[in-house]
Amino acid sequence: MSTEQFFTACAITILLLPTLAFLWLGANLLIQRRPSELMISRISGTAQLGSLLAAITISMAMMFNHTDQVVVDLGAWFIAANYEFEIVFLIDRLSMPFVLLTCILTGIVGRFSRSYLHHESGYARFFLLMLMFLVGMLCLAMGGTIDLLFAGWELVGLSSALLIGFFQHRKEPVLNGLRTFAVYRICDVGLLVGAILLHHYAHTAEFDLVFTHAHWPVGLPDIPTAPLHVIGLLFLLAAMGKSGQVPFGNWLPRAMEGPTPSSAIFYGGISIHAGAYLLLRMSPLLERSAITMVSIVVIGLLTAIYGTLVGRVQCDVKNQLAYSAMAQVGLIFVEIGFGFHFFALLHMGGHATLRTLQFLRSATVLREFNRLKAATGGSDLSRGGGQYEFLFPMRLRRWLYTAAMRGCDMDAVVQSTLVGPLMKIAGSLERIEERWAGNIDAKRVEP
Amino acid sequence: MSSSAHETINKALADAVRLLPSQGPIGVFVHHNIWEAFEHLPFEKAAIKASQTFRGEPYMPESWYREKFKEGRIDKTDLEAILSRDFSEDAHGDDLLLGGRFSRRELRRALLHRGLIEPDDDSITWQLEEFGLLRWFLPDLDPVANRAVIAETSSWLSVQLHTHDDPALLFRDHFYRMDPKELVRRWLGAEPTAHGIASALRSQPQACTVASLWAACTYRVASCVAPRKNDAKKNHVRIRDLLFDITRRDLDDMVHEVLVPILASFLDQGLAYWPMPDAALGLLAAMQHVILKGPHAVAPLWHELRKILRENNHAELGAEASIVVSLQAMGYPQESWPMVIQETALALPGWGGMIGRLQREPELAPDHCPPCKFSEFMAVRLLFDHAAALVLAHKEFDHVGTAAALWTTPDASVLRVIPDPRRVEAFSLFQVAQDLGISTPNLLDLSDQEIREVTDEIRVFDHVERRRIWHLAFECHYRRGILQAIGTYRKTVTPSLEHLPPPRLQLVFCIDAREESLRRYLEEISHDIETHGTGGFFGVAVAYRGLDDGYHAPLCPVVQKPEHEVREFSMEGDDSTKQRRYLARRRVIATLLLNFFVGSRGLLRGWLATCGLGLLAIVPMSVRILHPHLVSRLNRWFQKSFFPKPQTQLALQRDAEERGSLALFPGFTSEEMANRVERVLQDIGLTRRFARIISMIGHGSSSLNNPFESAYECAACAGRKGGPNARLFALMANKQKVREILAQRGITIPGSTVFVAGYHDTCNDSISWFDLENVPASHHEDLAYLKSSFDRARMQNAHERCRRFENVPLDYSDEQTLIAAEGRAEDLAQPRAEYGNASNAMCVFGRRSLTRGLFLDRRAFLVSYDPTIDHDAEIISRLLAAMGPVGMNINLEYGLSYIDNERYGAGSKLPHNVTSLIGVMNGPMSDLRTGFPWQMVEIHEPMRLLVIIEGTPATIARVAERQPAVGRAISNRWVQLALIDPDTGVVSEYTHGSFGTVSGGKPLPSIARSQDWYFGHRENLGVSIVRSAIARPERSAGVSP
Amino acid sequence: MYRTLEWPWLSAFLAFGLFCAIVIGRGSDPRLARKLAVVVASLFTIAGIVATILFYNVMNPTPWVDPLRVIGFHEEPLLAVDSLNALLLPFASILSLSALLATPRALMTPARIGIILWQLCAVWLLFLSEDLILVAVAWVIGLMPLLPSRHTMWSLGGHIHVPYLVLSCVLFIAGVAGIIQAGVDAQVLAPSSLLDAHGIEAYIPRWVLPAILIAVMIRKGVFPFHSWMPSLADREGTSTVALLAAPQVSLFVLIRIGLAIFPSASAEAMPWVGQIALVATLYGAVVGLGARDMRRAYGWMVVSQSSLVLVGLECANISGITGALVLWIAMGLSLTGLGLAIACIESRVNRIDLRKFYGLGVQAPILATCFLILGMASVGLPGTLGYVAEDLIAHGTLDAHPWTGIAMILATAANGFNVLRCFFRIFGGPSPEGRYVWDLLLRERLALVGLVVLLIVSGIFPGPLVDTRTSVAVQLVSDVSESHAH
Repeated sequence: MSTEQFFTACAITILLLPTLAFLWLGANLLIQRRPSELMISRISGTAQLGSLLAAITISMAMMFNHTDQVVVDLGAWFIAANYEFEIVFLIDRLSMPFVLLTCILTGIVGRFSRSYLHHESGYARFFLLMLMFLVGMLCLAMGGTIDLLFAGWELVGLSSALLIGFFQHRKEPVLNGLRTFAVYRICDVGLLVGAILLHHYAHTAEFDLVFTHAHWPVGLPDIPTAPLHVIGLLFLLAAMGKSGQVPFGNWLPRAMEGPTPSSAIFYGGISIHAGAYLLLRMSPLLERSAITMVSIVVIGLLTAIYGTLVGRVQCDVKNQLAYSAMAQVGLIFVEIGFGFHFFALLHMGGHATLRTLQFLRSATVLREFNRLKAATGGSDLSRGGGQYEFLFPMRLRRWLYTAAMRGCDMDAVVQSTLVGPLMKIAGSLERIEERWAGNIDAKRVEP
Repeated sequence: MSSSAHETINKALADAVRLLPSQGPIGVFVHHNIWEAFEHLPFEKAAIKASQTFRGEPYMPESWYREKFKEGRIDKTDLEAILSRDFSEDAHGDDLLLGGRFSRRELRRALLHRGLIEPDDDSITWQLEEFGLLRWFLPDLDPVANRAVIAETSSWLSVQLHTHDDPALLFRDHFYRMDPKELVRRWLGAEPTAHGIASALRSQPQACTVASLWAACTYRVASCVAPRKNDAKKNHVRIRDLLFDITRRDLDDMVHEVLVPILASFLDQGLAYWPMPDAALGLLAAMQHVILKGPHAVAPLWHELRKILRENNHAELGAEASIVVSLQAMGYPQESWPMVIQETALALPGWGGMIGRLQREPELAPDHCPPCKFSEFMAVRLLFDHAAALVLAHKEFDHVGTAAALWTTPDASVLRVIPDPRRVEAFSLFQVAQDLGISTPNLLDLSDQEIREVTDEIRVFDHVERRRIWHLAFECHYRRGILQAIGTYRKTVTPSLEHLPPPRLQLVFCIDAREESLRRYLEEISHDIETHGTGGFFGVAVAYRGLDDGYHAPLCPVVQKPEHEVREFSMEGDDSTKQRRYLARRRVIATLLLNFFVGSRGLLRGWLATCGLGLLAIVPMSVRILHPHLVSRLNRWFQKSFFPKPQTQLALQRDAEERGSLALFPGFTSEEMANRVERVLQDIGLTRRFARIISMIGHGSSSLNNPFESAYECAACAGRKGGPNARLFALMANKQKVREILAQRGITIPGSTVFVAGYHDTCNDSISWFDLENVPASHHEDLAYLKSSFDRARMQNAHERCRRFENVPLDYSDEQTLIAAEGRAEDLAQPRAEYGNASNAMCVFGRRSLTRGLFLDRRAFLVSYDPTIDHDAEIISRLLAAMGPVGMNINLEYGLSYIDNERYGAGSKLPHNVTSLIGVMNGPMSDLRTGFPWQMVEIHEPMRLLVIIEGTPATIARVAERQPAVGRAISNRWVQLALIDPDTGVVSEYTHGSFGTVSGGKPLPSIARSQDWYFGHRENLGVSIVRSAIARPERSAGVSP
Repeated sequence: MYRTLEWPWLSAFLAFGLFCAIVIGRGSDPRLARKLAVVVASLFTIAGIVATILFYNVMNPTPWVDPLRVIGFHEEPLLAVDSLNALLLPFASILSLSALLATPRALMTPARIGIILWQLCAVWLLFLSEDLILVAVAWVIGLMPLLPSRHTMWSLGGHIHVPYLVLSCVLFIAGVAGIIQAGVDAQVLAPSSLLDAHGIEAYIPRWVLPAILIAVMIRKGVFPFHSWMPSLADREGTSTVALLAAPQVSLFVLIRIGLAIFPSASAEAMPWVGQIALVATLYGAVVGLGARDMRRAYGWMVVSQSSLVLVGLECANISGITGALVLWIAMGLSLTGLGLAIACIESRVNRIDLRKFYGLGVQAPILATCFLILGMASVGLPGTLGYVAEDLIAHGTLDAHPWTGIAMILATAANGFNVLRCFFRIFGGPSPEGRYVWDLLLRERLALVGLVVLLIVSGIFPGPLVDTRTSVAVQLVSDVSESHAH
């Protein structure tokens, strides 16, 4: 077996195993067969483990071969005359750590869910969605073309919305799932348009070719400056949505409606970093646009401040974690904006891991606080960390408290500038249409 | 404000808060009866009233009971018994209906067994069509009767076909706006002419019969039953209901989104980094400050609130006046205020209930209690409602003007269209007619009055009524089974062990149902072990501070307030270097951990933590999740090697009279100790025959990642671990001085008797012992025996317990299950560390000899009580007063959380989110979830607690006199009461005001060891005799094998 | 020029289909009628598949001749399979077959069954015919069931589709008449034959093309002639709209007549049509967000998505046109499935008010899954055929006109949100006490799960399908450029 074949086989294994597990489970559910819990968790666990092993193998091989980058080209998926949808996987120093992180964290969370979701009526659904997420994430991470990345991106978004609405018999999860999906949809426009513009100007969708075979994080895209700014900002828009950055970030705390493991893996661990990953992947291109880089830093900084401020007044575990995750991802954005690629990658890994753990053990906070309080001799925990705020005058502190309590009205701003007017227009147009078609007084009760 | 308004408001507030769950902060789980507010009513009435008020279910769905019927857990005789009892109370009695064709009993029986399909009007057509209900008779009917009906209908139809102008009208559905001709085509597949129908009648007589029956049913119902007016307006209690009907948007959602974080911050016990400013001023003032400060409000609700608060300084007005202002602003007439306040309170019951509870008992707060007032909560809530109503109305239909004007907007006149309910009635009649074999001509011959009688009867006997009967029958079946079993068993054993020599060990447990199996196993091990049960705080109500604790915690039932405090300190003394070092080391580590906890959530420290240590988290995470057992071993090793806990003692003895720093007495005087020991010994009837070792076993439970941890702990210790109480009791009872006082009072404890205290963790089934160094050498052999017996018993106990966990294989050995149980306690991913008291069903007050040797499946609270030493029902009165309500509340909390988990319980545990350190919410924002989560109750069987007392009706009458609350619970049937006569052993049950003897019953199955009975089963099991556990095996001769 | 394949007894087969439609429609037993109709539709499906396979595997020239044509002394074949319609025949039959299977019994009268078969035959006739008059006939008879009846003649309240559709028929017939007249003027032997229609463009009056374009736009429900579509959905239910809109006969006519007969004029007009379609796509998507009733929301999805096909067609590069042709199939399958799923839900819980929660997900998980996959497939869920189509169109349009692409992407985003909104409203939230809703019955499951599987399988292995559509696209582009060269 040649090296190339070896890499190809491994790359295929990584993606294929979860896909097969997903299809198997989905097909079973569609024909109304319910595999046992053990069967489901075994099969998905095996798939995850297989992916992980393959990813480790590739990483090892790359390390020993001193290879920075491997492009696995599986040929065209479909061809329409001059347009080809290439299936290309890009395996390099960016995608592999991310794939490893994804596999490890979803694997652990999958194992966690096996007993955590035991006896839950949505057990199979949960694993199905988690596998869908894994497939999407791997596709996103390893995708060597922007189209594959986008396909993964979409799957991640849908599985995320459906998992938020996992407890479908209550309306809050469902509404929050929908809200999250709305933000995703708005920001996905950025990715799709950016992708197509990139395709248009670079005449290829393959990252390898866009960056003229240079190895990440360097690359010399041959694109004129003006479109470069546009493309960069569009990708930033996409990243802002998925990574919960200001001003779209408020879906993040709302997304805590799902079962704890899904909150952990999505909003503490992997999915929230997808935006940062996109920026890293595109960094050779973005770096040539100063506007984009400055915007990334500004957005990241704003988010970091926002997340910290609002997080400080939260008095429940999951919201605290959500806002602190938002703030840290903001910092990761800043790091990316300043061009510290590997550091951002490290930060991402560390943050994802720690946050996942914190989410998973969030329910233990009562016990922890009791024990810590006892051990510290009953000290007043509510003064836990109040250091900086004593620098502020009382008036300002109260002002800030209210601002934080209101989430700085970020929701209201987005609502009143973007969503509200759109819905208002839609509503009134539809009323006019109804009246024109005479559907208003049409008898609604049908036999 | 007028004083009458003030009074109305105060009364309404008091009424409303009684309806809300009275569960306290979650760290101290207080079991409460969710239907507490209705305890003054008989249970069955309360069920209906409560389910209407709370919009929850009164009983399980019919399908659940029918499932039980199939399993044999309910049988026909139970149902008949309940029906008969109902008719005996009903003025109409078992009347005949439809001109004597059948009786009410037959109708009800048919309805119970078939269980009416009661679809929405929407899907009747769909069901009729898709399931062929118009082509075939319902399944499982008597074929002979069907044939008769077909014959009758066919001959009638063939006559009618030729006399009718339009024969298609014979098949007309009177509630269906479809051409009858089309219906004939569709239903019969025939042309709608006399000829076509006649040929259909020949080829498919059944279809014609059934279709014409349906047509007749719709016709009769349409002509006899008056259409009911749908007055949707009367549902509009709150402005929210009105707006919901107009816009379909829920004002509560808008309000809660803002209100819940404010409430959570107000009540926060130290989780938030920034505490709420001015929380000390009370909710209303704090809220007003928060709302009015800060930057310009873009969010419309905040904007509106500010406007309202600027018009009127509500904090200055005071809560009651503010409520009146808001109610008037929203245009509620004064007579509707109580209802409005009640409904408003019920919109967010968890948070409101918490504020109400903390208002009554601020000391329940784990850290500090802000000044809670339910009236302020209501004032705030109404302010929000007012603002949100304006915002919503403006947004949805551009309403300008006051909120009160909303009641008269043109949109308010839009009523909900509810489809004609009569079609559903016709559908019910259709099913009943088939069940009872009534043909179309029969139906058409009946008078309008008769039809109305039948439809009324069907309507009255609705699903709630049917479920009530099913529920009572289910309880009846279980009750009869248990009573007969105990009655039969009683005949074969001596009620008193007085003439036997004292055993080697006597063990006193908590009454907790989880200890039933452990006690059984200990007794299986040897006849020389005797067990007793009493409240797990062992009569020692105390504020206790252990060496590891930072503060004093009350260890006694919630209704009691401790008067004494006890501290634990190192053997070497309070100031010994060993203790100081131990505490200092703990403090350092805890401070580090706390800083990491807070810091990792901050910005800069979080940055350092995630970059620097983040990836390392993979190690604890993977080990914790992949191998929880290993972690627990590592933890223990770590604790042992770096934080060896010094040996400790308790500061028990007190000689002075003054109170200590906490306004409590530090320790007890000998007199006080003697009182406590005497009382417990009397309670359990242990006033003679003392064994060499008497051991008090407290219990508790510790599990990881489980906010409901304290719900698993000892309820008698207010949701804390009962070990210190056992330890205190043993120390007291071992004191020479105490024994002397007791001897003066007639309880002589021989010098050879030693009291030993132990602690049983019900989650991982571990046992630990206290103060063993004080046991004299003469007793070391007995002690070793005690320990070894426990080691065997706890393993077997774990084995029996784990059969309930579906992910523990049934064929595991004892050792394997013990490891599994230990692993569960340490597993982050385990939402069911244990099942707690979930299987509880009964409570026995009596001598152990009544139940010793019976397999009760961990379903019984066993309270030791000896009627022979109880004069004038004094002991049983205090026992019932202390344990009765606890048992009943535990039982009802489990039962109701099971019946409607979303409404009364806490829903699924999986999305729970600990908030403010006082409770859990669903996800980021919801009401505070009270009651039990589904994972805690899923194996429960909802039925009222069956209380079996060894006593006579006269005893009960005396108890009711002394303890009116107990008497009320019994006469309102919130528990099921049964008596066993201490002398004759006759069993009687209390139903509706009188005692009736229970007799009969099959001989009980008998097995050698408990394992033989439960092995391979996961479900609830019946009673059987465990031969090895019987007090004296030779006495089991009368028991059939 | 298209390569065509004539098929023996095809005309007899179609006549048989029409005959069955009439006979079944006049029957009285709906159960029997459904069984028979399913058999007939299955026959059509098999015939369509066989025709497609044969078309791609049999060499030119046609080895077979329809005996009936010989009897009728026709020079040219009247009905023929070609590269454009080959795949569309089984496609249309599958749509009708699944409608026959999935429609609830309470809605299935023999008359309705007959209509479904009738429409299927009309669609086949239109797809297959090589003759203008036949196309016009098929156009009209396909709409006949929706044209004025005794009930709807005089009261238009809620029947706004009637004037629209009548207008489209009139315009279309007029246009066809104009073309035939021009053929006569140009002294073509068989003036109504499409095969002979080349080179007569110069003789055609100026009003003919606009007339035909408007007829097409009305029938497709393209802005500003769209209002009847949501209204029809509101009135007649979603399955009716699905069967009317999903085969996209108007699009077929546009390609057949527009590009074949007016190569240069339509090349000029197409960008305009495309722009209008783009507006329609965006408009439908946005207005759909405001719909309060599921039926109307569905109507808007159809308006938006079917206009999108037109957008792709307009961009005049091969990937865009291929995308449009693939979307034609993907959208047909998914929107028909969605319409049928909605009908299934409505039969269980009555009309769906999107402001309420219905909470069916717990009791009907398979229905929920089908609804979600079908809905998301129509907006390009990766893993379904929809993704392939959207990807192709997006590339095609952005290459051609960047702004068009962005608008199209926005519309898709809005539609996707709308699908999920409907999904969550219907399947999420608390379900009312005591209501029991049955999941899909076997019959319904066959249809809906079948469509889902079809979408997923073709979405994972889109190669062959895309290849066939590409060949059509190449042909179309070369036709247009050829005419420019002239």
